[in-house]
Amino acid sequence: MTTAAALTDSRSARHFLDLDAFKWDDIWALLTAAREQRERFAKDGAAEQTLKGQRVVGAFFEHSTRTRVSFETAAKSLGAEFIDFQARDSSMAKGESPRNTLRTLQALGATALVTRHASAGFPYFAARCLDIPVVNAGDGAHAHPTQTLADLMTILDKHDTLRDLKVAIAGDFLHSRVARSFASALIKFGSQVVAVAPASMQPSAAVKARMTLKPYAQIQWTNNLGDAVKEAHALMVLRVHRERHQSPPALAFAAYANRFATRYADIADSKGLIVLHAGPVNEGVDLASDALRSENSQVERQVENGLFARMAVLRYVFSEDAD
Amino acid sequence: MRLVVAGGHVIDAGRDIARSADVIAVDGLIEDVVAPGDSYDDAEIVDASGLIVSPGFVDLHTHLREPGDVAKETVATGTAAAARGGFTTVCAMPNTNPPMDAPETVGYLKSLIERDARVRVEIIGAITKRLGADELTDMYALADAGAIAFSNDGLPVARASVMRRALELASDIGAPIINHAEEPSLVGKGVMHEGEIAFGLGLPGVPAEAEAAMTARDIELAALTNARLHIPHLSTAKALRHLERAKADGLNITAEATPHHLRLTDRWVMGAFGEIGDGLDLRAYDANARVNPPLRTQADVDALTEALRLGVIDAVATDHAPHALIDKETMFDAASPGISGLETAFGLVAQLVHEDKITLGALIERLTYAPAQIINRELGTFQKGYSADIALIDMNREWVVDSRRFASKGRNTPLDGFKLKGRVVKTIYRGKVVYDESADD
Repeated sequence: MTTAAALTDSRSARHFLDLDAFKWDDIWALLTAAREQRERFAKDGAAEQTLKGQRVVGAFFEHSTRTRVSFETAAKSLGAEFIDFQARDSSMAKGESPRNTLRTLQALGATALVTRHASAGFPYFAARCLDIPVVNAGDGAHAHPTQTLADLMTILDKHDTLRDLKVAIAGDFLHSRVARSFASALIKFGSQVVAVAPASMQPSAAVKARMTLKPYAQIQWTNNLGDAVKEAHALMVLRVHRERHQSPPALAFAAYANRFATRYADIADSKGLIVLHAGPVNEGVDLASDALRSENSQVERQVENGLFARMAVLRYVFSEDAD
Repeated sequence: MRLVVAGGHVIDAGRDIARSADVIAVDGLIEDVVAPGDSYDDAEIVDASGLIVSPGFVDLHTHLREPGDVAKETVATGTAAAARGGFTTVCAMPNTNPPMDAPETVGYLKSLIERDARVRVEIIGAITKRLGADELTDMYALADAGAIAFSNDGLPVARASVMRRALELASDIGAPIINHAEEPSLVGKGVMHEGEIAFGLGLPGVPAEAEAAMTARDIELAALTNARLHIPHLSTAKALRHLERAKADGLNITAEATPHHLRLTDRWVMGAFGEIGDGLDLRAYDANARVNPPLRTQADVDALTEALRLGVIDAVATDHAPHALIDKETMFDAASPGISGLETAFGLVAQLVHEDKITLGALIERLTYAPAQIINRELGTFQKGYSADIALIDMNREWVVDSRRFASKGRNTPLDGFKLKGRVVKTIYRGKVVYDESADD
């Protein structure tokens, strides 16, 4: 697999910060590795212990259920140690800087850092501070590349391709890292992305009118869910990320739920449509219970796939294969 | 003591001079600008062959950080940085700790200046006490103590009624009001320009309208009070349109733009000097590119440079904002905003001359005579009897920015490693050399 050169710094640590620098065939290689991991696990009940001796530190500065447990399970399944650093209980409360915290974790023998932070760009900052590989488990509203791998795997499971699909993304796109990473990757595969959201959860009219930045310029924006899901292969539903909203909040939960929540009725006519949600679901707000629990819903499959995607990513950052 | 700066090409907008000439100073004051001479008796000769000889630059907008934030900068280090950049006068912004909101505090700063300053420092007084929401300072007393203008920079005067009062007071005194024009509730959590780059980076943005709306408000209030408004660090084409209309209406309003707003864009937040590649460079989310108001789009840069050429933007001012390493070595949205700019200012704007976007004469006017007029000081031109403040410029000098060599304590610049062409090589203040590039290590 070709190395994403922009993600490798001069000290030769191989980072996994986002999928931007990956061409579609590099992403495909990671997806293939993840699916192989899944097959092996199904067959043998366990994975090859290829990461024995590695000490993966999970530095989560933002809440997480899925991603954190998923990375810990992935690391341990491959034979690595996993140290769970709880930022909440750390000496950052005494004023220790992010840089010094990271350097301390490295000095304690971390051979890779998996990190989640509320600040977009944190993993880039971490990669600059450290000599070990950094894996992005989510940075602010910017990127969540391992989630995207899980989501792409889930689409592949159902549709057997990522090319020329129509994918709708419904909800708080403006404040969502899941949306950005997912949309970017799909567009690279030549699929069509339609985003549906209220105005305050989309880029402003002025920004949309002048957007030339690839791949975001290719996103189609609408505020009509019916149009977005018509003939779509997949619908990704997003949580309302109130914690990231400017004041006043983009929309109150009740107003959002009434007008924009995805209900089963919205998708009932689309038999082949799968519904994705990266979680956590605000049941009743982003996604109505009937849609969440429908046959279309792939939410639990995404979680399962996430484990194997993260195993593939950990093997990627530790691998020494040449270009 | 006679000083002759000989053999150079003198550009002095105030006296409409643009020719080969020698500048003669006696006892620290300008004597005359004469045709190039062969020899001078009894004089210290400064050889300016191949160089442009300009009046020393006047910076309307510098943060010296002293008193209070001396880890970031002091009067001594900030003025040393000014000298390195060709600036012989800087106007010190009042958001120090304590702020310049009382005559005694202004007096204290004056004593520091007397003791430590390498170049001239003019003092800008605060508009409100403690830079707070609505209690105006005694501007008359501050003016008597030496303040030459009033500002709350980098905090905007949010309440229009307070801004009106400030303008009324200042119009009585005859000094300009300098308001950092960004509507706070529209700025919100924003950390960079709200555009496609912020969208791609997942960073909350500040729309151009935050600046345009408050600039429009300030202009209306300036018209109401007939006061002198000076718009600092104008950064958007939208605010510029309000300024253009105000000037067309004959209002006494001036404006400045910074070198970084005249050259850099929001793409610089992505690292790699604003080049967009496949995916993000490891230098992405460069906290050194975080500044208020934020770096904008190329369309804004183009509008600003044209306005500078036409003189709609009257002056170039640095908004020199030094910070300590710990303030910048962190996540983008946690970093202190500001660029250490005194030592790269001329190099950045010189490129506009190389690209034929402005003549050298006009650029020098924007750095010297125009800012001096705005603060109503006898500076920025080689008038007989004026302070012998002179900058010698090598327009062809190519150099690479190395922040480790800055005289400023602030190493916070997005330009580290960036190539510039054009540099001040010697600075003379009151007839004495205060910066000589050949003495650099």
